[in-house]
Amino acid sequence: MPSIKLQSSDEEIFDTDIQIAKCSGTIKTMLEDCGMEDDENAIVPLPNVNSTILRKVLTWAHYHKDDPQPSEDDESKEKRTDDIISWDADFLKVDQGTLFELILAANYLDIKGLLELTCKTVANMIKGKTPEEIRKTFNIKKDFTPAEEEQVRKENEWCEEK
Amino acid sequence: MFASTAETGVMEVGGTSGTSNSSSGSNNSNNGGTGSNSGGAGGSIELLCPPSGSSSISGSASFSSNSGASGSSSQTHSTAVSSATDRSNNNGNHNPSLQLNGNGGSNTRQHSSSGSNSSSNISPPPSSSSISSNNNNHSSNIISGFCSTIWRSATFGSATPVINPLPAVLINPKSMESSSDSCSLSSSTTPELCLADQQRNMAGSAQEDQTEDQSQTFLGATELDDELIKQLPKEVLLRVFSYLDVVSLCRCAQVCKYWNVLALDGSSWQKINLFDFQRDIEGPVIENISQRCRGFLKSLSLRGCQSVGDQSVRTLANHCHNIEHLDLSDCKKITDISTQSISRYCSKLTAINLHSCSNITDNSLKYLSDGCPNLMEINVSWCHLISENGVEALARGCVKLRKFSSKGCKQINDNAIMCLAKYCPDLMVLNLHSCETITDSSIRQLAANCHKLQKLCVSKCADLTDLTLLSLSQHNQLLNTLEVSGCRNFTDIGFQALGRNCKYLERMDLEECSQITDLTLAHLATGCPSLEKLTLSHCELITDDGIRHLTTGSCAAEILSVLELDNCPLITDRTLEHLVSCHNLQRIELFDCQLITRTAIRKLKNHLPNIKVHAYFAPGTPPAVTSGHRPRYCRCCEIL
Repeated sequence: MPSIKLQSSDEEIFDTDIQIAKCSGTIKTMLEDCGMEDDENAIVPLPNVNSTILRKVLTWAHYHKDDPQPSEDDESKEKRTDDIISWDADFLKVDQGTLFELILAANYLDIKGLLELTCKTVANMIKGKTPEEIRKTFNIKKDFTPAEEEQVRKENEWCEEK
Repeated sequence: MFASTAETGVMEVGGTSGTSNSSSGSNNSNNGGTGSNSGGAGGSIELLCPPSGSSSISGSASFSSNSGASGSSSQTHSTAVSSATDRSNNNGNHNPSLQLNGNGGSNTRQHSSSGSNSSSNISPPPSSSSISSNNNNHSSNIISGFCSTIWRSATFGSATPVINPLPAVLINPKSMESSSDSCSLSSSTTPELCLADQQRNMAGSAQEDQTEDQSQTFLGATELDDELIKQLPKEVLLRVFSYLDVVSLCRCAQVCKYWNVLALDGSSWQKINLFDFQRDIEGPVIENISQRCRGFLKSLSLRGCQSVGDQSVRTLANHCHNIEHLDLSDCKKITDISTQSISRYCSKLTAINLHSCSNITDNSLKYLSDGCPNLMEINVSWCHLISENGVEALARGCVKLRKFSSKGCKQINDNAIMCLAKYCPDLMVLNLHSCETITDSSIRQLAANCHKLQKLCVSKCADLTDLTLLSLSQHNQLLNTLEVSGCRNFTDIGFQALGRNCKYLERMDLEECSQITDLTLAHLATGCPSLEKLTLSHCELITDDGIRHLTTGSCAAEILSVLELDNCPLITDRTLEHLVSCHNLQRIELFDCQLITRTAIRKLKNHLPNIKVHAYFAPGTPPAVTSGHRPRYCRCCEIL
């Protein structure tokens, strides 16, 4: 199986199976547009992903290399968040910083499956929480004035049980 | 060719860093240029993984060199320089257009850092021109999107103009597109510009700012950590929100101002089901939602929201022109005025449910016929004012109709059905439950014209005869669901024909087809290998033999999952013995089957442990049987 070299932002080189690397839309496009696929020594620089994160991304991609390509009409499907397989759940037992970096990497590298998974995970961190609990979970500062807060509360109270 | 272009690439790297060199007027600026790559990503490391990691050390080092590029030279710079040299060497081997990504990244970073650091280097044109010289199709897009990301994040970040290198990770042009799709993005442009100006002014007192920036970076590290989630670009956060239900979204809207804007962004509200909140939904909520969702809203269910009236629906229709699915069932207040506004504004409507909106008249169907030519599904069940006139108008205007449901509309007659048959050849699902006056003639025309028919319910249409079944079997081979409960005129002859031709039948409700005998079951068993659910309640002539036929049929072993035999007085325990071979049987109904015993049920359960048996034995028995004091008992009801 041919491989290519991926270079992380901190200069680490990852020798990667080309099929695994291609789960990233960004890398796939680069390789195809530049005709680098046959070049054994080609190095693909990924200046926006550091080695820690890239290693995790590649671990994920390796595990999911045989997944079917998500189809186009996915948008119309009901969005579920309770369908995360246990391997993925374990894979994402990381601190928030790493989780967000994985999201950014998946976004930059255009890896749909990983982006979907990580966003679902964050959504699950939000679900079922009150606004105050959400702020606490993500250390978000409340920047509403008391009057504004009361107004948004009123606007959104219809969905709360009485 | 390759070598020469590669060299050009290197030249360009030199060129860009040269620009920054001259402008910021110090040798450190080299880092500001090439080193900024690692600065961008490195900075992200520092911000995102505050507690540990060796990589975070180098990251924070180059990050600080960035923010203080033209300030005092420190040790960190020297490390950055060496890495920069390595990098440019590496770059020399690269294919040039690949390199662009890194290169573009450094340009932009340079741009942003120069904005905060030195007044002489702030104007965007130099950097953008050097970018365009790269001949990359994407580059300008990437860069502009890129810059805006940075500025935007600055806008939404803390009030002090700390340039945050993190969003630089995002140079995915695709996500840029998606962000530009969402409506509220445009509003962010102005603040970006303002902020840029502000930055330039600030840059005048560069020295002070830098110290301030630096202190922000170091001392304020925890402060930045507080807002970790703000590092996620808008489109990513929107994607997260897209997985949330309405309750969670409404709570997110109360978290902070930024989240309020995003959580209420129309793109998160494309499909809304308010059934769970039916009691709390007042008009203003609908109006509020319509205004926030606007063109994004595709699907809305207001099922059971009884306070919803014409005014709310009018506001909704007025704002949400792209709505495709609208469920107004049990919104009992609405009248033809609602459908009039829907007809006026919502031409993309494909499905509407007016179930139990009892004020709706034929006029509504005329409005929908005029304004919603794409309508494919409509449910007017229990709208008892609907008559043939409305249905005719609807059928003429909405020729794409696939599903039509008019349960309990007693005024729907043969003429109405013939209009549907005439104008709507794509009809696949038709529910005429309790449309009591319809006869064979209209169903025969329907069968002949609508070959795609898959589901038909004519329960309680007691005038129908075997002619209906014969024409269905002749024309509608795709039929998979047939509900004919209470059609007492149907006989074995009709079902024999059906069994011969309709091999896709999956669900059949033959309740109270009181003339059918075991022969019907024999025909269905041979002809319908997909039969999954069969209702034979009140088919009083059915015997154990009929069930035996069924269990030897092709559907029996793996497919048949539900069998309803309530009030089949002739079946005995032998029926249950036959059913043992139906491995997929999930549920069986045996109410008032007087000859069935508990023992037989227990035996069946032993063979099919997952089966649910619904039977009723008269009360008073359990204590008698379990206590064992009365050994004699009646077989049918176990009372004694």
